[in-house]
Amino acid sequence: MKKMIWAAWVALFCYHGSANATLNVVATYGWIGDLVQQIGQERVAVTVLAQASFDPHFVPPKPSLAVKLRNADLLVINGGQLEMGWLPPVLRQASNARIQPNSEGFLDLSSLVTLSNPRPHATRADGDVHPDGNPHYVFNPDNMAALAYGVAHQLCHLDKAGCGFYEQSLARFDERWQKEKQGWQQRLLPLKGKQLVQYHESFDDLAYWLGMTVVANVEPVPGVPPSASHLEKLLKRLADQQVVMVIQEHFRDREATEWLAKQRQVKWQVLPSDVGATPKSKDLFSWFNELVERLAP
Amino acid sequence: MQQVGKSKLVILIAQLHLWKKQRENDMKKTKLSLAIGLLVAGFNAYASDDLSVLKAQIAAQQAQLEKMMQQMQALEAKAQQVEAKVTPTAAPASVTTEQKAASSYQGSLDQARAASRKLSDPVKVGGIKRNPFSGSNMNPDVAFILDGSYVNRSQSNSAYGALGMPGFFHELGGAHEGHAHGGGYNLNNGFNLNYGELVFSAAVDKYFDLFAVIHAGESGAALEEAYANTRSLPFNTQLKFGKFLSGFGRLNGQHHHYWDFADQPLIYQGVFGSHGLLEKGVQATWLAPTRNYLLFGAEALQGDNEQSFGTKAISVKSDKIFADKDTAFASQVDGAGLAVGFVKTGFDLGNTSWMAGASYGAGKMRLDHTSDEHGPHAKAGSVAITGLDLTGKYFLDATRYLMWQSEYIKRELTDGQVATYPSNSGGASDGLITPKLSQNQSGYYSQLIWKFAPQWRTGLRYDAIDQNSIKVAGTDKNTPYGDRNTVMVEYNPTEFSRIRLQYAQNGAFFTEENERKRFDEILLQFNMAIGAHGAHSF
Repeated sequence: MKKMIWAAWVALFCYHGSANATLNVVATYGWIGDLVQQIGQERVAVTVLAQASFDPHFVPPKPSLAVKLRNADLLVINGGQLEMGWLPPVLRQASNARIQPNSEGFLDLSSLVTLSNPRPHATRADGDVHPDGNPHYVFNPDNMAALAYGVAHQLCHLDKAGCGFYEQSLARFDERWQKEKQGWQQRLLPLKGKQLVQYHESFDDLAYWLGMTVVANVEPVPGVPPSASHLEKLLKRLADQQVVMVIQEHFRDREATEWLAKQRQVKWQVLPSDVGATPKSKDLFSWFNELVERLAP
Repeated sequence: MQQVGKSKLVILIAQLHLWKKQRENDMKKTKLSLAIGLLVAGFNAYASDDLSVLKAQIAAQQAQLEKMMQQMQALEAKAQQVEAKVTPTAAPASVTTEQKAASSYQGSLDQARAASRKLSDPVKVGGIKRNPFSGSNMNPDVAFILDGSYVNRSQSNSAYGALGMPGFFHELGGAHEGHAHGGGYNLNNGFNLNYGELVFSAAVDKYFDLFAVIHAGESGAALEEAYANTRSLPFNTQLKFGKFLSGFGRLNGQHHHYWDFADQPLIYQGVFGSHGLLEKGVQATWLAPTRNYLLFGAEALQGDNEQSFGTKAISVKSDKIFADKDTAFASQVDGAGLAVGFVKTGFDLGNTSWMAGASYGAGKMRLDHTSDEHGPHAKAGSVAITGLDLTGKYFLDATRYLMWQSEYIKRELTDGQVATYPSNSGGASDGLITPKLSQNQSGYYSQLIWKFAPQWRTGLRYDAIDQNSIKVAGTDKNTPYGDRNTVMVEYNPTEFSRIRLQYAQNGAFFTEENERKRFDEILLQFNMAIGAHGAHSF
């Protein structure tokens, strides 16, 4: 019996570290984890905190998250207040001085790009808005070069011996991304100048990149689900708009957008909002491939 | 790649400029030699006086000059063309906004690259514009939390206020001589303003965070919590010092506005009172380097808690006839009188997150109710409190879950003594100090919370006292105890506002004469927060 208890104890709590990698990197979301992996390759061990099938705004705080943060050398976050509702307490509970904000092992990717639509004077009556700007900047593929560069720079900063290695994989990643990006752009060219309706403000930057116009959000204000009467009003308001599609993220209730698309008899599409959200979205490239496939006319 | 190409182009431009200058110099020389030639030619003409020859010579030279000028203009134009191609600033005047934005993305990338040409440069890129977790530009973060309720219970205010839990507290509504009894919030039928709370938090510097809670009722405010937390200690350790909620148990560390029901479980109310185990002191925690969450904590606390501890010396009037003569009953507790230790663990099984904890606290009881109107008494002794908690939370998705949470708390008093006398106003010599008091009390709660929609939660709770053995001089006083059933449903328009409807069947409260008073209670609670209020933990 004593032996069994001891074995259970060891199985439950036994220390395991990543043996070969030089850096332990924790990323808040799947796409960040994959970006770090693409640049760091075998020199990094990447752990992702959020579950891709869940809403990125509301990651359930769990003790296991504190454990993942405990031994990290680098924490890479999306920023723009996207993690504000869940990361600070688990970060505090991880008691890891290396990855606190303002320390060497902390990278806020939002600081590398220009966020669209900053609303520094918003109040909570405007809904769940992010004063720094729209934090869903990853949906504009033009941002990826700056993000990849930032990650490579940070990895090199923490792992001097690997600088040459990171430089090489950054160049490789950049080249492939630019090439794929052109393909995606070609594929979605027919959408240019068209109008769309989205559930939440997630796809502002995607629409911008495609040259599309977002004519309405289904949410009355960010973070507040629409009521039936709000949907009716929205439908009326859209009567004289030439909307071509209604889109939303995969983790939300689908009735509202589906109903709206049906009423307008336009394309209705549910998009994976992160790497790992669907079986096909394995990495950044396949994720964007899937986004493009689902958007393509 | 691009950069290398660009620098090559820059070199090319520089070379072009150099070449242009050389050509200009050459031209100047040509012009000079031409002028000299003309002069010589004119002199020759005069000398030879052959005008036709002179005219022909001048015409030929003029043609040559024009040809050279044309060549030079062409060259200049070519150089300008090349320059326009490689210098982005020389873009055509009619740039669309789209192109501008694209070039600003390119610009930010270029900036990032220009900030450090080589990856190995020690300059850090991608810093933070400002604290990414700060909800306002103000320092510190400030929040105000309001809690109020509408209550309807099948007991008059005075009857309810006179109730208590024998062996734990008496007179819910009573608060006299500086001590509040077990009651606390939602005391009156009708409207109640429970509290307004000001919460401040910010990093003090690189080394400390500071949190402060100013808790205000309608007529007064108190510094409820104020503590500093280290932020950069090595080996996953943290120190906390000041006045804070102890890490004992699961519910104790959580603030009232984060609870799943409007009131505390009975055992918490009985053992720690309405504000929980809130003490001055120091706490050290260590997150062990294990695969699963394993946190060890130790606290040295002052031990001011009025329900189970206390520090002041107590003297009692042992004989009513000599009422002025005080007899020392219990000595002062000098220094930190309460030690608390806890261990917490957590692990995930699929989509279920399990959390378990064990806590222990030991100190001295100094319970001075000698000034009470009815049944004045005092208790002293050694107290040990043990707590066990277990929580399972099954996540249906990021916003929906099913949570089961239970806690068991046991309080033991040993080496105790009790002083009782029936009335402060009486004259009879009834005062009695009994040196042999021992108490063995415990209780638990078990609750199930279902968050079935992003804005809706419902839950039920059963809480009870399951042991209430109080022995005076070896004789069990047969102190009664009871239980309670509670259900609630709440609507949270956002994470900053909550409206909760709660119904309870209470069978745990008794009159002064140890007579059980069963009653029902309907409670509508309002809880709102404004300002920058940090997220809650697991």
